[in-house]
Amino acid sequence: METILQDLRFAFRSLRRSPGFTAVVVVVMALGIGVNAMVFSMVYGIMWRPWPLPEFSRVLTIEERNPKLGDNEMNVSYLNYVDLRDRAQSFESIGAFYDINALVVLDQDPERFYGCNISSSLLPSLGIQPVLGRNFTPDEEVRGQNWSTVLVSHRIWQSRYGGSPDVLGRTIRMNGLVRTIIGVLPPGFQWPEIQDFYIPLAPDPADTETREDHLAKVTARLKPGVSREQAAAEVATMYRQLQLEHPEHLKDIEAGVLGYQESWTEGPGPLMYIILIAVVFVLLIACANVANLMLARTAARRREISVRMALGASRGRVVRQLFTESLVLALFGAGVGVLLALWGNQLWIAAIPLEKPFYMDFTIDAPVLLYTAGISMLAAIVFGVTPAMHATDRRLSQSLREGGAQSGTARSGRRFRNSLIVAEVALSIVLLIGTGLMLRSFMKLSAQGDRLHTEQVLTAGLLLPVASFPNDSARRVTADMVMQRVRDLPGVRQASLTTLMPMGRNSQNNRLITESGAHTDKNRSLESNVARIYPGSFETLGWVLHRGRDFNDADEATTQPVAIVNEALAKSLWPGEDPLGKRIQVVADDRKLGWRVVVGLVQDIPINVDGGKHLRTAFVPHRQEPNQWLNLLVRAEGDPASLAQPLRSSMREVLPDLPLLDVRTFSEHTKFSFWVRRLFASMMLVFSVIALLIAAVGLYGVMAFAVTQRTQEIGIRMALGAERGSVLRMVLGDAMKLTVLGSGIGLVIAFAVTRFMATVLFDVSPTDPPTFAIVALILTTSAAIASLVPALRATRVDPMVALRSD
Amino acid sequence: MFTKSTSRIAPAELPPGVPLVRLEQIEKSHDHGGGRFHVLRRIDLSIEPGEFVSVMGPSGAGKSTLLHLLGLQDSEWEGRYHLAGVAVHELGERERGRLRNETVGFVFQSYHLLDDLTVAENLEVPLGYRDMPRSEREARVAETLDRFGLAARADLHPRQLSGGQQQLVGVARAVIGQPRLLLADEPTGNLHSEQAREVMQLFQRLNAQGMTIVQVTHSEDNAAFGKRTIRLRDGWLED
Repeated sequence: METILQDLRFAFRSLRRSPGFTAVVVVVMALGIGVNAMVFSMVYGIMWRPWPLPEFSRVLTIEERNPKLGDNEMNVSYLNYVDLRDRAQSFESIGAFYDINALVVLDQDPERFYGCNISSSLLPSLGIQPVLGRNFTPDEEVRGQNWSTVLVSHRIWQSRYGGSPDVLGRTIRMNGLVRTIIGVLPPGFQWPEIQDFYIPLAPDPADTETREDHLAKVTARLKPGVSREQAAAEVATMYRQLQLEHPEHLKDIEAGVLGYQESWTEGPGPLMYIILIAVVFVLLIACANVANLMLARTAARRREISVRMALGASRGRVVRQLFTESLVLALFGAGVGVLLALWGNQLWIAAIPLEKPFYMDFTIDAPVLLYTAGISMLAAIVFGVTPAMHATDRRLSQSLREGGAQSGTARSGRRFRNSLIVAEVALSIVLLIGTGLMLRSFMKLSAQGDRLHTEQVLTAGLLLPVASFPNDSARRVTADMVMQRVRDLPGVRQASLTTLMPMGRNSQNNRLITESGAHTDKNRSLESNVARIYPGSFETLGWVLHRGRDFNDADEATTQPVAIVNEALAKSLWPGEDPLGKRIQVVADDRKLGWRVVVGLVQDIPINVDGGKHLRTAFVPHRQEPNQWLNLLVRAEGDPASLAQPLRSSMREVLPDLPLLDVRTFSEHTKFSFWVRRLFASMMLVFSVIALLIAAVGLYGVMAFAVTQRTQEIGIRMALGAERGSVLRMVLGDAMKLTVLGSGIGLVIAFAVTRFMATVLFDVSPTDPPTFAIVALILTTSAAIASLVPALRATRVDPMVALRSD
Repeated sequence: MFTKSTSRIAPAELPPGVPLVRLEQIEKSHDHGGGRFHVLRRIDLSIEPGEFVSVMGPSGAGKSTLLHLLGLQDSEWEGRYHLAGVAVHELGERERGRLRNETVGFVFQSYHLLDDLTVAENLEVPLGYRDMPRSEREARVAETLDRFGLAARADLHPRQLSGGQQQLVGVARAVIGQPRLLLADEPTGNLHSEQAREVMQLFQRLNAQGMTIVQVTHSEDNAAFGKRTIRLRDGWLED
């Protein structure tokens, strides 16, 4: 214990004597550790932090799958859920829910919240019960019986009712129905994400005639002592039985059982792992850099180390002493790094334009600090041990006594330093290529939107609640009326509507089949976005109609069903053929409209920029398939933002219960859609710049050290006739050799690993040659700049001075 | 006479009577504690082709400074210096570099061999700075290895050689470019007496073959190998 304290004292004293060295190491380590702490707190908060629900690891979810059609992660048919709930023995409770928009009048004006239809068994399955009032009863899970009650979140209770117990029995108007508040949920509970209002789940009987509705998300709480595997086996057996009982509906349908949190984090997984690997790279680069600094420092401390060893210190003792210094440096770096992480967290959280789900928590607390401490210790080992071992090599001190000539150990030290630089360059290049690919993907996706002409377009959303607009006719009449009102507004040049916004964050995938029966089996399964639109949508957005015609007012519910397809869909369905006149059918078409004739072909514009798997999109007339979602597209004569207020007022006059949602210009809409990609591309860019700077500083340090070490050699060469130009070339050449070797290794690694980024890239190959080339160029240029100063210094070596050591 | 246009940096054969080295009123000084510290004072010196001159004097007398000045390593001085008929004091840095490469060879006390290079590679270094074709360099290196009896050690690294052998390589490297003037700064300072004598005998043989040699030495014995000794004290050349 005493020797440890002594080591610590020595370490502090020694580091205080070299404030410049200490400061550089602490800053480099703080950057490396700080970005790791920040990103770990993010990844941990999204992926691994246990959700704030009792024994949440016992909560599973059940999904339906159709392997033959390649359909995974489907919600469960309502009737299957009922069978599961009633028959399965492995679970304490099985609940079901689906989330909805909640248009609520709490005071005077309608407001948009998020709500959830939940079964009475959902809260028990999550281990939750209301803090005030009661849960729903099974009696309320009946269509019609579920229209009068509502549970509210704790924060609504606090913020809108002052936390008064009188809230029970108060009424609100939600999605067109008056409901009585019967309970308040516990603080922080906003299942499944940011929901505030819960109503009983009771599907339309029409939706449950078959078992093909995939309506319910299912939560299942394991009984104590039952393993997940046992539960999965029971569910699989049940589904086989259900298949036998309902062969007409459940052919090929299987069930998958997985942990709820696990299922929820599958989506962000790839991006999270990419960003986590990126910062691990930054840390490794920082470690390599500091190891180099440590080597240079121990080289300068040879005399001190030799004296210590001559005085009887064992090698282990000196190594421990030197390692203690590394540890102190790493912990200082960690301390400053945590402060950086706190600041970084504030920055990136502020960049999120959405409320974060209730279960996400990015606090830098014990798990994050533990991780930080762990990586700091590892970093100290990585950057501290080899220099310490090197510094205490007996061959080195022997060579010192002999004086003059460079020993094998000194050469091995140089090789080690060079290897570290090669590693730094290789890691930097992999990181830069990852960033380059994300940036190129981001730019290519953004450029897709530039193909539209939307400078003067304002967008807004309207949701027609089922209770108020129960059928097609009501929705059609309302949409017609809304369109007329908007078109009549002064300053409006054109207006239309769509259920799916281009360059947005939502997809609406349906399976399509063609007349020839293609795409009905797994191998030829084909999904496409299906958007319901009004005539004039394409023209309003400047969306190019290549062939055929737009929809018109004659495309009615009673006329021939028609469709417009985009290029990507046409190419998938009828490669090399003319799509006009061909027929398609939307599988699971609610209204059973049958075959639609393709009347137009439009250019490809992405619908979902946030991970949509494909560009394929079919358009059908809204009037033939009225939907409850209306996205208004309004082209203004002048500034689109100036239409926002008139549009709101106009809508309030005709639809006083419905708030106008997300009123923004199209460019604001696009900017919003890109927030995830922008945030992660920005983060990667910041990490890459840090990595590049650290690597460049490292290369500078190594070259400067090499020049110092080689002063005499350079002097000899100059005495033997080397001109300043050849000395400059020699030093730059050495730096370039390391850079080219590191770049080569980095490019090979990048070639192997970037393929894992394929799922997050748009229209960019993971081995995109321009990205690889540009990154190699950037890195080589940076390396040349970094080594220029030492190289110039080398040319100023005075051979007389250098050789005076005689 | 040599004209500027033809002979500034391309020394031709020296006409009879023209010294290889001619220093006139050479002064070298630098700032020191607010005043000037004079290292060399009004040096006038001529060295004829084929001479073997030993420079002696106490430490700090300016011997090495004079040697580096002669070897064109130093350009911070005043006065007139003609080397092989070329007016050094009129040359720019690049031209001095070329003249040095073509005219001067250096031998150091600590040998200053490059540790990572073999004996043969060390010999090749000065030729590399003379833009000599590879085949010619290789031939010259082979010839020099033979001439100095180093062929068997061509692939060894300096650390594998004794001090005397290292200095032998140092001398071989200094003369491989066929300089007219061989400058040696305490060439035997790190050698024991037997090795020192061998190096001096080598210098004598080179001198006998026509090489002009200037060595700095503290040793009267070594100085005796030369044909003339000049002495420096406090920067002044003693009569």
